[in-house]
Amino acid sequence: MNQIDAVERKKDEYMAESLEKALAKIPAKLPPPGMYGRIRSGIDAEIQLRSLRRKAFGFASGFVVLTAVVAVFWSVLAQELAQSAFFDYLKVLWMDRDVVAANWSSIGSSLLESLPVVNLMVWLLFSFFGIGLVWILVQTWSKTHPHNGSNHLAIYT
Amino acid sequence: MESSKKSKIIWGILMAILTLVILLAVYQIGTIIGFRQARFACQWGEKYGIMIGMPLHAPGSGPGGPMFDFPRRGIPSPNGANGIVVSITGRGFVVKGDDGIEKTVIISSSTQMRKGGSDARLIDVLPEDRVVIFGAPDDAGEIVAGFIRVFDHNLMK
Repeated sequence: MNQIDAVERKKDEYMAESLEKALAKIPAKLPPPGMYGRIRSGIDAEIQLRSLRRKAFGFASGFVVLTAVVAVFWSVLAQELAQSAFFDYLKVLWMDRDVVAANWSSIGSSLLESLPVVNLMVWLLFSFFGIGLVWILVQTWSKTHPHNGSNHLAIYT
Repeated sequence: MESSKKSKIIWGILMAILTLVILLAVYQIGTIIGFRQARFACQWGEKYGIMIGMPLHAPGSGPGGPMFDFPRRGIPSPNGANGIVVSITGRGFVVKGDDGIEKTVIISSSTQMRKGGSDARLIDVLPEDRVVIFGAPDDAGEIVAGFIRVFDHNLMK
């Protein structure tokens, strides 16, 4: 029994040695240069694309909501302005431009006092957020689609 | 790198101080304007009670005058008026605005008045004429007019 084991062991060692020698003769196949970089940039591009899609959806939703709010507040503001004396004061100032210099303080105060300040502030605030949202969207789009036509999100082949 | 970081910190501190100054200035201006408006409203309210025949010590005719619905109708503007002439006195006239608030307008030696394309005087103002006034409040809750534009009520129909 011990002899058979010894022979089996010798056979295994011989086979391992032969395999090592055979493998040493086969040249190692290296990956093409830059392949790791291309794989990495492809993964990054995919992550960036998904993030961009989420941002675009968020921006579009926010923009739709803000547009609706701005439109509603605009109608309220327009109604309040029409009911106030603001446009009447402007009409008189247009008709009698020469009196502005002599009465600038009372004219300025009257115009400010006739404005529906709270609604105007709310409308301007929502418009600010709406314009800011559009600006961020344009900036994000221009970063992902530069003017030279290249799209750095494309996966290199 | 150190010096650019320091200059950013200093720039940030300067902008914070400037913002604080602007906010405080706006707050102070608002306080001054609010005080003037409140004082005019108080004086106007006291006189309004007398004007409509309310006894001096009737309920609601305390230091602030009769209980006028200021929160809903707004504080009367002390620097201008716009509305229909309801009565004419020796010193001026009473204007009723579109908001229902009646203001007493006083004509001084420096008041400029125009009706149509030419200068006008108090005798040219008729009841139900539409007027736009720019002026300044006095201590009696009245508006001393600096400029008055009169629109003939016959032409407005």
